[in-house]
Amino acid sequence: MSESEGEQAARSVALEQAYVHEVYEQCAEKTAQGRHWPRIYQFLEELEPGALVCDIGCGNGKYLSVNQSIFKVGVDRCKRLTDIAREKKNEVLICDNLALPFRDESFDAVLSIAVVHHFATTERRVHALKELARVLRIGGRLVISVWAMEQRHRKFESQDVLVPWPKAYCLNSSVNGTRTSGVPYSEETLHCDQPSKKDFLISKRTSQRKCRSRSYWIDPIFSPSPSTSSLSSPNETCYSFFRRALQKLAGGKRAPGSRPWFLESWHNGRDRPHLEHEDSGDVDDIPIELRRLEDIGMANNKLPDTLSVKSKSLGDILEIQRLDLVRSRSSIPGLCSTLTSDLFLDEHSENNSSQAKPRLVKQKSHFIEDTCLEIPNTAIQELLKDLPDFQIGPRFPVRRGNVHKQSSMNEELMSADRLREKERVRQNITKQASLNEELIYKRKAFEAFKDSIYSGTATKRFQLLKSDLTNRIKQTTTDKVSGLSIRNGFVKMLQGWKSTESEFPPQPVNVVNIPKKESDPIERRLSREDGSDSSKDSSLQSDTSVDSEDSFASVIYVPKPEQVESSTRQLATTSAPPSPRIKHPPDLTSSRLKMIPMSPLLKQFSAGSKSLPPPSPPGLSPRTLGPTPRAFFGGFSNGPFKSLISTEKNSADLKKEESKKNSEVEIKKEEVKPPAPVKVDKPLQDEDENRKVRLNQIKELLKQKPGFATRCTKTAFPLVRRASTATTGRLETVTRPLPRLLSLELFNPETDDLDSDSSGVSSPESVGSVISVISDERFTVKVKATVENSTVESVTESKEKTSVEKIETEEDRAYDLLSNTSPTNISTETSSQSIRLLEAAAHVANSIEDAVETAIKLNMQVEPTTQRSKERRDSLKTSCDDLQELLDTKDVGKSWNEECRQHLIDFTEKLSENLINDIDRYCQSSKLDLADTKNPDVDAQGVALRTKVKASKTRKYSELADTIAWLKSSGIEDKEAKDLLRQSQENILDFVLVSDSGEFVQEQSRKDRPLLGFCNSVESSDVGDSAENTTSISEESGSILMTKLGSTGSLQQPSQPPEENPRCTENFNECSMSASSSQESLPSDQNGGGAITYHQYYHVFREGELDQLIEKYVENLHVISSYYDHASWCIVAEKVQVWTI
Amino acid sequence: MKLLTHNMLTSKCLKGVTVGYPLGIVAKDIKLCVVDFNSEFIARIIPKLDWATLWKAADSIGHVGELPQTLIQDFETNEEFLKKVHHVLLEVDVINGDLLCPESGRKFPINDGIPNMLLNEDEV
Repeated sequence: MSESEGEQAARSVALEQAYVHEVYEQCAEKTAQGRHWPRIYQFLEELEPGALVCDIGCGNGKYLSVNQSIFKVGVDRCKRLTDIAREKKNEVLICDNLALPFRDESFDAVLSIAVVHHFATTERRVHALKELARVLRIGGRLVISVWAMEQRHRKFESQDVLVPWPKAYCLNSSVNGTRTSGVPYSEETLHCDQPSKKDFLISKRTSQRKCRSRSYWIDPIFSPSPSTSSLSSPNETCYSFFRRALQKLAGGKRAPGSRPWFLESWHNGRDRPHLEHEDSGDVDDIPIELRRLEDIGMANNKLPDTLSVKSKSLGDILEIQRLDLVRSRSSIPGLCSTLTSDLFLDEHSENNSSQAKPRLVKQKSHFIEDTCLEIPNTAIQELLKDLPDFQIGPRFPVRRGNVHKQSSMNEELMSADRLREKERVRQNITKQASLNEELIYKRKAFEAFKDSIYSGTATKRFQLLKSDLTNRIKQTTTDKVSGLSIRNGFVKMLQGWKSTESEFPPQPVNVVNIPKKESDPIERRLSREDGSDSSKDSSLQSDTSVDSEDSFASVIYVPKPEQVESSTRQLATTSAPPSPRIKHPPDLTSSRLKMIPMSPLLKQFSAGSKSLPPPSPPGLSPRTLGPTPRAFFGGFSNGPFKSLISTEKNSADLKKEESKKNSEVEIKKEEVKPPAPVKVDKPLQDEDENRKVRLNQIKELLKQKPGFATRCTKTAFPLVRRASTATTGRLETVTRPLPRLLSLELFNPETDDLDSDSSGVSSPESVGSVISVISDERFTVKVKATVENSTVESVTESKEKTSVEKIETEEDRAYDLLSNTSPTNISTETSSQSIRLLEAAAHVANSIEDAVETAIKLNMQVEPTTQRSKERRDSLKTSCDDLQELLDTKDVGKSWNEECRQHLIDFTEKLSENLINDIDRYCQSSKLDLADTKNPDVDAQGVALRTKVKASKTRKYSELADTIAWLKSSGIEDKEAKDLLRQSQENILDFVLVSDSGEFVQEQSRKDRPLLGFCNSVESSDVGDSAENTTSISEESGSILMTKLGSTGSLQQPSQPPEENPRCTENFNECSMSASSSQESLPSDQNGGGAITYHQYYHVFREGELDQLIEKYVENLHVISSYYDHASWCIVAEKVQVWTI
Repeated sequence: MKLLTHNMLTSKCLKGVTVGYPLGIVAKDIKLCVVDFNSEFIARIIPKLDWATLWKAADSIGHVGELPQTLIQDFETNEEFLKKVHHVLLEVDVINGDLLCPESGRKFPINDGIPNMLLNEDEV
């Protein structure tokens, strides 16, 4: 029990640190001096002269100037806030509510305004209350206010929530006390009044908060921003939690809202629908709810009542699942770091599952144990090392051996906290394991348990995938053929991996491998899906299946950028951002993403096999699985990464074109033919997944609230689809050799099938781009661990790009699944190229400190992309005409790109010839790719498509330009001095702050827009950004380039942007000026600008909860009055002498 | 940090410290500011003080002035005395320096007039 307690305590501390203390530190300057609450003001005024008053959590000293005849001491844990309060000539000091440095009974009155709700556990709340009572003299009065769960404008489904701080704050400052209708009243007051301490006491563990009602909210949390959502998982270890917290701090809430959370849907489709709705509703406003913050700890402490669980209904199990899901989300970021390891794990898991089929039932328990052991280790390793990941890969085949090794490794590296986490995880596992035995035969429950078990740590997700796979495999076993094929595929996959790994040096290999893996599973999936579709015959079904698959894929992909960013953010926020950590997170995300897709496939597979007669003969599957994967891997590992990517892109483009040309009917026919069956292994499963997704969607639609409905339907689903499509397309691209691409004109049944499947080809390309980015990032990181700044920046940029691409792909899909593919491809290509450029830049740059800040920026950028996508959808409908105009602009973009390139070259020459060479290569390759893509696209596709492509290209160009500017700036920094780096860091911080404000503006605009206020919101946000950035030239341009440039410029150096900005603005204006396109671009810009939204942890109190806490735990406080004010529960208590007999 | 604040500070939150009072003061920068004198306020505060601690603290930083080492009986009516106390309590501001735990010797830095009493995790 002690262990679990320690774990919980560490976790809660980490939570408070990340979501309370850090947020206050970051937002201290922004906090406006709110108005006094009348009743507190009155309380102070009525104190007798000479009273000694301590305002604990004084914030900026709002109440320290009241009543000059009393002596007030303000204390706060936030140094910045105390500085502010001190400037007002107040007596302040820095301390923690849990350790007040005052003598007993030294104050006549104590204020605790909006403090206690920041403590994460009941123990800590009680401790804080006791500490308040301690320093209060007998007969002294204590005023406590805590945020109420029951609020007029905001409803909390759970008591532990992460509330976007900047928004509330901004509103306060801007509104200046007057409550905007849109903004929750309570928030304003709270924030304004009491940017007080983070740590405080009270609150009970109310069993209530956990379950059913929460699910509703929880989902929203996830959807709004994957990063944020991750936070919600209750069982997470401190680290995962911390990561999440950091992410949130970084500002991820908007992040590509809906995508990531598919995992949940995938696991439990039922719950999902609700969630998505909520999410879409108001990302900004939605507080993120943390479930079971205390409960988990409590449960652990109380017991391995393991079996109390039995008594619990399925509902509990479902909840657990949710938790798991949440965890898994959260874990995603953490996993990023260990891409390679994860990949290996995945494969390993797959192998195990396939091999273990016969034993599955027995093994399950073992599985869990193994996984449990592994999980903590892996997580720790991820955190600690980059290298360990590599090592892990080879180990995997022998699982237990690996575990031991890892454990030893971990022991060496683990800090006390980590050890605690481990122990905690183990406990959870044991509990769950016992539960599992009971529930084994109930698949869902079983899965849920597994999930819950795994969820404990971020790495656990990976295990979840395993479990899913195993389960699916069992199910699938009914269809022997499919199961066999799957097995074979897994085995082959593993072999291929092993071979590749052994051959190549560890680090580079890993980088290369990661993309491969992703592609492989995806490919299989596609093929299967195709087969299933063809078998079904109905075109509609095929389409839907594709969509559903897409959604899965999208889930997978979406999280990557954000998570990566988030991970980087976390590192940054933590203030100790070792390069290795930064590296890891992105990788981990990718790996996790990969993992996720696999499991869904398996599920679908089983279901599909059952429901549908297997159209494809078993023989077909082996060939696809066996040879292709190996070849694929080998090619990747051996061949230069760049060339592969480019080829893939080309192929993807061609495929897209083909797919477009081909009517659905053709696709169906072709699919019916052998090619589809070849890959059929998992299509059935996919179908099942699709069905689930559909059901969920339907449910969501039904449940959607009027306000949310529009958003939810548009954003969440489409996003998912797109992402999935991207993955599928990518796989296809990867598998297909270049020659095929060239021969696109001819319709080969196989290729056609692929194309048909890849209706989402465009998306696949985007995926590929994403992958490439990740690999690039990794590569750079590994190559130059010291060059943190540059790498971080590059990562951020790449992330931005990827996000943009995703958005584009999503938009395209929503608009036209087939026609849109080409633009996405282009964008992906450009992004990959740009990424390479970024890599070069990374080499140049040498500052480590900037990395953290950049990570934050990245987060910011990622978030906006989601908005953009939404806007795009709306705008796409109207944008067709405008797109043609964009074609003209394309040329301009090219020229601009060339100029940028020249600039880069010039700049790089100064730095080093090597760098120049690299850059040239990248630029050329990018150009070539672009040219290649253009021609085929033009021939095959209609004007509209061309226009879209061009638009995307122009965007890419702009991005490239931005990157170039970045490079320049980075180079300048290196040359000029290290001092500049520090300055830049400061600038970055400032920028972050600015971005926050920008976000506020956006949020406000959002609120204003009832239905489709995107344009307005975008403009307003842009304006805010531009104004803050100073560099931005014109408000109207609101074009992405402008904002991005401005943002980047401001971050790096304000002087540079002006030159390029005009160009960018011109291009954009010309190109994108169709309202729709511009709108789309704007959101992306905003993203690029990186408005950061900080989330702050609150434990919102139920009515009477605080009273109960005091009465139950603080015996020497007597509640005099309890009232509701300013969305808070306020209590005036008097300290009384307690006589103990 | 005013000496009135110091009069209430302890380091008893430190692990292993039972009293932690009074804290020693190592003043590097002291600023004298002007605070409006309120005789009633001072008179009401004096009984709440640990006079010996106040005197010792004032003495340690060289601003004890003419304060007696023991509290006089009629301070409530002694305007002159109250002004002296007022000066010591509210107008002597330690801007930079350290607070010392009398038991453990732990230093709590004072920067810009703000004592940082935060403890490390292992100190709680």
